[in-house]
Amino acid sequence: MEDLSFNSRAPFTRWVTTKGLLREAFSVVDVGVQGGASVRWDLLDDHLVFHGFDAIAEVIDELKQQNAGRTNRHFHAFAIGAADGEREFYVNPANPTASSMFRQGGNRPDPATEQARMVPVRRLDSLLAAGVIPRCDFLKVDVEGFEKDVYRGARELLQAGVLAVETETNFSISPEYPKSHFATIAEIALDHHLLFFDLGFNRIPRASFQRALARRNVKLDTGSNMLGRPTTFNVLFCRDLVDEADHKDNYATPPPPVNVDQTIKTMIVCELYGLSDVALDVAERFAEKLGHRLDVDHAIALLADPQCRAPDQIFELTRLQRRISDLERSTSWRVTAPLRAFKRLLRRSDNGA
Amino acid sequence: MDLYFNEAAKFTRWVTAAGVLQEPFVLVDVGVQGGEHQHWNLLGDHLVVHGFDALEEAIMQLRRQNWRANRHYHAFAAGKADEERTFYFNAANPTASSMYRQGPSRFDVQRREQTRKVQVRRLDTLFAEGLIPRADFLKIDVEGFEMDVLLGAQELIGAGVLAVETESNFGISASLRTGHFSAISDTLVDHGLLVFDLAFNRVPRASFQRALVAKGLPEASIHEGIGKPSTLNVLFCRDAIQETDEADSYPTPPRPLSPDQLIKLIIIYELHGLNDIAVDTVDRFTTSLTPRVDVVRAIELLADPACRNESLDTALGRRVRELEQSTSWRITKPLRALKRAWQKISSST
Repeated sequence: MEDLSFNSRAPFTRWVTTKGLLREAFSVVDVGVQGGASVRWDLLDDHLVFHGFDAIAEVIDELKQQNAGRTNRHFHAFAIGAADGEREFYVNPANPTASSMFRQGGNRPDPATEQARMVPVRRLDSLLAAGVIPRCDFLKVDVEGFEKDVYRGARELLQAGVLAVETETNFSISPEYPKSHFATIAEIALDHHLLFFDLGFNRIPRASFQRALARRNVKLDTGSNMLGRPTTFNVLFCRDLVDEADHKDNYATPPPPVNVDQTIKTMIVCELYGLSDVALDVAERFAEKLGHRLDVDHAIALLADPQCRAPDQIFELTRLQRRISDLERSTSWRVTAPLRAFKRLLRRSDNGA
Repeated sequence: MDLYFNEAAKFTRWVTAAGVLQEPFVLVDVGVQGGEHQHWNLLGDHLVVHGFDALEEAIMQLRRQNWRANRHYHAFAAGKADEERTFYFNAANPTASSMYRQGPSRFDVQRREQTRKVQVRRLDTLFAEGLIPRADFLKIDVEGFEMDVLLGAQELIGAGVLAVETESNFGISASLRTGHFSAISDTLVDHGLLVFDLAFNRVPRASFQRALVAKGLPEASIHEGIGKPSTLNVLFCRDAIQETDEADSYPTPPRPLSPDQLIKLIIIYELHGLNDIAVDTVDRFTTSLTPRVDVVRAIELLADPACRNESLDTALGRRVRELEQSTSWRITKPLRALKRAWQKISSST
C-alpha cells in the first residue's frame, strides 16, 4: 500500500508544539487502528489526544499494552459504523489488516480463509455525544470497504470541526457504491467542506497474469507497485482555508469559520503530509490573524523547505518520461537534427572505409 | 503528465498485422493540438482519427503534416451546445488556451490572453450528421471544458465508446461544486466506464517559490514533486469482466461487447501497460475470442513482465542524461537562454 507522504522534518510543527504556540489539544480519531497510531502524530507530543478503534479485540489489547503509561492515547475495541449494535465481522487470519465487515469472495484475487465473529459496533456520533471522544481535528478511516458506514455515523463529529480526513478508498463500483467508492466518500467529505489534497496508491497485477508468467518461469515482484491497475488508494481530504476565503462561491454552503488554533492545526496537517507549500500559503494569506499568535516570517522561513517531500518511485518515473519528452520535442533538439544526421552519416562512412 | 505507454505492445502489433482486427479503430481526439498520441500509430491502417481543436492554426498545421486519408482534423471546439463562443487564446502557452478566462491564481502561471470567437459543435450533432463515426476511444484535453464536451457526447459515448482519456483535476469551482473529477467520473460511470489508470503532476504554490528565493534557495522545479496533485490524466475503460461477472454493480447494464470490441479493449489495455487486465480479459472470454484469435498465442504475447518496465527508471535516467549531455543540447544552450530572456521581457510588458 502506497502510504501518503510523511514529512518527518516538519520544522514548523516542532516549533509550534515546543514553543507553546498551539494552545489547544490536537485530537485524532483513528478508525481501523490495527498497527497503531501513525508515527507522524508523535511529533505533536503532549498536544496529541488520540482515540483508536478496531473491531479485533486482541489488536486493541496489544495496543493498550504497547501504549501503557501514555495517558493521551486511548484504544477501544469497537467497530465503527452507521448504527449502534452488533454485527458479524470476518477476520482474515492470513492477513488481519484485510479483515472486514464484508465477506470476501468473487473478486479476482484468491479469496482468503475467513473466520466470522460478532463484534460491537458504535457510531462515532454516539461516542461524541456520550463524551467518550472529544471534538476531533483529524479523522483517519481504514476499514476495508465499510468506510461509508463510518462516515454515515459521524456526521455530527464531522460537522463539529474536523479539519482533515485520511481515508482508504478505491475507484471500484459495487451495489453498495454504484458511483464508485471514491465518489461516495468524496461527496461526504465535500459536504463538510473537506477537499481532495493528496493521494497514494498501489497496483496489483491480476492472478491470471501472474499464472501466465509462472508458466514461463517468470516470477513477478508483486511488491514493485508498477504492474496492474491502481487498486487501493489512501486519500487526504482537508479544509482549504485559502480557497474558502477567496472563492466562497465554490461552496454550496458556507464553511464554518476557523479560529487561530484551527488554522495552525491545518498548517500542521499540511506540513506533516509534505504539503508545506500549502501550509506556507495559509501562513501568508492569514498573516494578520496568525500574527497575534506567532512570528509569521519565522513560520514562513520554516515552511519554505524544498525537502518537505521525497519523490516516490512512480513520480520519479513519470518525471523522467516527461523530461525525455520535453527534451525531444524542444526546438533545440529539433533544430539540431540535421547535425545529428550528418554525424551519423560521417560515422557510417568511417565504418564503411 | 502522460499516462503510461507500452511501446512494445506485442499483441497489438500482432492483431493489426495479422488481420485479426476486422474493424477500423476510431479515435476521437478533442483538443488535438500537437497531434494525436504516437501510441495510436501502432494500429497502422486500422486507425481512423477525428481530431478537433478550437485553434484553426493548430488544425491547419496538422492537416499539412498528416496527409493520410484516415486522419481528419476539424477546426471546431467541442461542447454541450452548437454555438459560437469566446475562446481565450494563450499566446505564451497555446496548449493552455481555454474557453475560460484565467483568474488570479495561487500558482505562477504565464499568460498572454487574446480573445477570439470560435465555432462550438456537440459531438452528438456531428455523430448524428455522419461527420464522425461510432468511436472506440475518446480523448479530451480542453483546459477545464471537459464536462461540456462530455455533456455534448452522451449519444456518441453510449453508442460504444470503450475508453476515455481525459484531463481533469480535483478542484471545485462555482460551476462544478462537486469537483471536476467527480463530475466527469459520475458521467462516465453511467456508461460503464471506470477509472483504470491515472497520472498527475504537482505544482507548488507561488508563495512557496517566493519564500524559497527569499531564503537564497532556487525555486522548486515542477519535476520535484512538491505541491498538491494538480493536473490529472485519467483513463476510464469498460471492464468486460466485471460487466459479466458482477452485473449487479451497474445501475444500468452496459451495452454488450462484440468480438471486435473485445479485441479493441484488449488493445487499449495493452497500449496503456495494463497487460495483466488484457490477459485476464482473454482468459475470461476465451470461448468468444477463440473463433477470431489464437488465445494461447495472445496470452503468450500479453504476458509481458516488461509491459510497464520495472527497469525503466535506469533506462529513462540514462536517456535523460544522454540527451542533456549531447552536443546538440549543449551547443543550443545560448539559444535557450535567449528564449528565457525574451519570455521574461514579453511577460513583464
